[in-house]
Amino acid sequence: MTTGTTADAASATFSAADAERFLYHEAELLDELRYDEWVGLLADDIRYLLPSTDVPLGDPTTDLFVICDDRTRLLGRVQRLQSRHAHADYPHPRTRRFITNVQVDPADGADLYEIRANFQVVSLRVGRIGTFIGQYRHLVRIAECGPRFVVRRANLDLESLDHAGGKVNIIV
Amino acid sequence: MSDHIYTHEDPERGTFAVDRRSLVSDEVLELERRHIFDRCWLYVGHESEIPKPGDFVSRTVAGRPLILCRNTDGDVRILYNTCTHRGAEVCRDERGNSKVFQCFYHAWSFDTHGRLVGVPDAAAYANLDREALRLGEPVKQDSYRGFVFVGFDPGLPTLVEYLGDAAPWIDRVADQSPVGMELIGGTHKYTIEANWKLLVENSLDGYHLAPLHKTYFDFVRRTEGDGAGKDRSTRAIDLGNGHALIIDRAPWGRPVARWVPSFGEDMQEVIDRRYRDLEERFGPERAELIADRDCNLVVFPNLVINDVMAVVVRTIWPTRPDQMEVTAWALAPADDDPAIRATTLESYVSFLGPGGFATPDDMEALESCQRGFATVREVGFSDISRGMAKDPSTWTSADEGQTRAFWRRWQQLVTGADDREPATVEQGGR
Repeated sequence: MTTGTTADAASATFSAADAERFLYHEAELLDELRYDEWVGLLADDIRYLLPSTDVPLGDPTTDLFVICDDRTRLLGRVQRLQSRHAHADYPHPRTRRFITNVQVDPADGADLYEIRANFQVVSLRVGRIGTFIGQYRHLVRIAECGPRFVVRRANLDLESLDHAGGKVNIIV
Repeated sequence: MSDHIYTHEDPERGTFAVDRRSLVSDEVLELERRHIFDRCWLYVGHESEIPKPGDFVSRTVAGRPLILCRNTDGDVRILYNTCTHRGAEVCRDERGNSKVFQCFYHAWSFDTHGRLVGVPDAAAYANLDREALRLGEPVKQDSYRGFVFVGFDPGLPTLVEYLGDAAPWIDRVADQSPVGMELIGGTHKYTIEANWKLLVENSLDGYHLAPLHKTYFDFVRRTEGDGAGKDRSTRAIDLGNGHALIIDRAPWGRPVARWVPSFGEDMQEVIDRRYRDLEERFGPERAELIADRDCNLVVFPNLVINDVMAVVVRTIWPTRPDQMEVTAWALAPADDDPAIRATTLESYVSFLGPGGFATPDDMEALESCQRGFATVREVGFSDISRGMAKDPSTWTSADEGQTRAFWRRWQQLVTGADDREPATVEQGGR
């Protein structure tokens, strides 16, 4: 059971517990490199956003982000992540995701909810460990088949990408 | 004559080899700090980052904490970010606006001119020489077309002389807009576990594009078509003083001003109008050069201006022989309409930056090279000979004359030789 009036209002259709289940499932798909299934969680109008470390609350239309994908680019990214020719991604990193403090609020628009959650994503590859720490600010649409990401946004707390291993060769 | 010789060229045989000890050694990094970074003009920031009096950004340049600010007279100034009292940084914010910089240790305050304007209990000093206790200022500071540079060597030539033949290529970027260029908010900051010179080489290297960035070019072909029939010829130029350039016409779009399908139909008219504006301002030939060519420029030693699918301004700082720190910004016309600006930003991150479709592969390659250098005692040299038999006027971006130009200047400075002499120029042909 969630607390707070806004969350209670939302809980009728999409509760924090629902959001947790959704995020845990997503994390498992990504950690197990099951990208074909992961793509099924994306709405057609998906935006995948990773702001630069100095503008975690920035606007992708006016600030330089690290990642600013529409569906075409995100599918291209997934293809890269699975390719043996994307040299930064092969050998594929191992990842483990930790997700906590999950909160849900109704958003403007029919069947839209904002999910906020803290995350730590650890990436291990060629002798190096990288850590991404921050907060998810997702927008999901509740479709008949379940929640679908409309905005999948990871705001980093890192001051630079040094501790994340320099490059972003995973879905954060 | 010094024994620090790391480049070996044989014009007769057409070979150029770099001793890999220059890429792994603490001693060489110390030589670089002393003979290169302490003795060259270095990029600090862009004037557009500090548009109003009191605006500042703090930067570390060649290991030194600096404040780049616009003083209350409206002049761009660089101050050393260290209190003249005991040394603490007087500015600990990355950016902001302030009339004074107050040290948090004993609360001494300095204005934007560096003048000491506040000392608690000043009466306790027998002789407080406020003039001598101003914030320090680097001996050389100047800007060119909005790019602000600093120098720590009083013997440096003027910035314009130093830039030499690189200056017109900075003009080419600055001329994109009649009202000037501005740095966009949002900074890419990351480290690469490799020697800094490998990223300089990579920035001038057209040879690696097809094999290393296959996944990106496959993606571009899928989204933009193959642009069949387009002139894809390339050039590479030794600009002197270690500066170098490659030019090509790549298959991706350029918000200034080469439309491609992924920009969307609506943008075609906006971008075509931009092209016509450039033609009106500069004539067809220069408009074509500004709008429809991709250029990677290296300003010696560590500033890269890549005017490609967007404009990247990138600095490369060594932190260890096997590690560099990279900072990259996006530069765009200050009068961009919002739709073009958004397109530019998307265009930038599709290829570039630590989450792009290409830069991570570059990082991977450089880190892989550095791991390979563990064999330096057994496999001692890297080969940079490509195109050495050719007339330099026929160099393509896949030749390596531009990279040799960087290395020659590097070698000349590292030996501590007279750096006022220009480095030798490749004649090519035999």
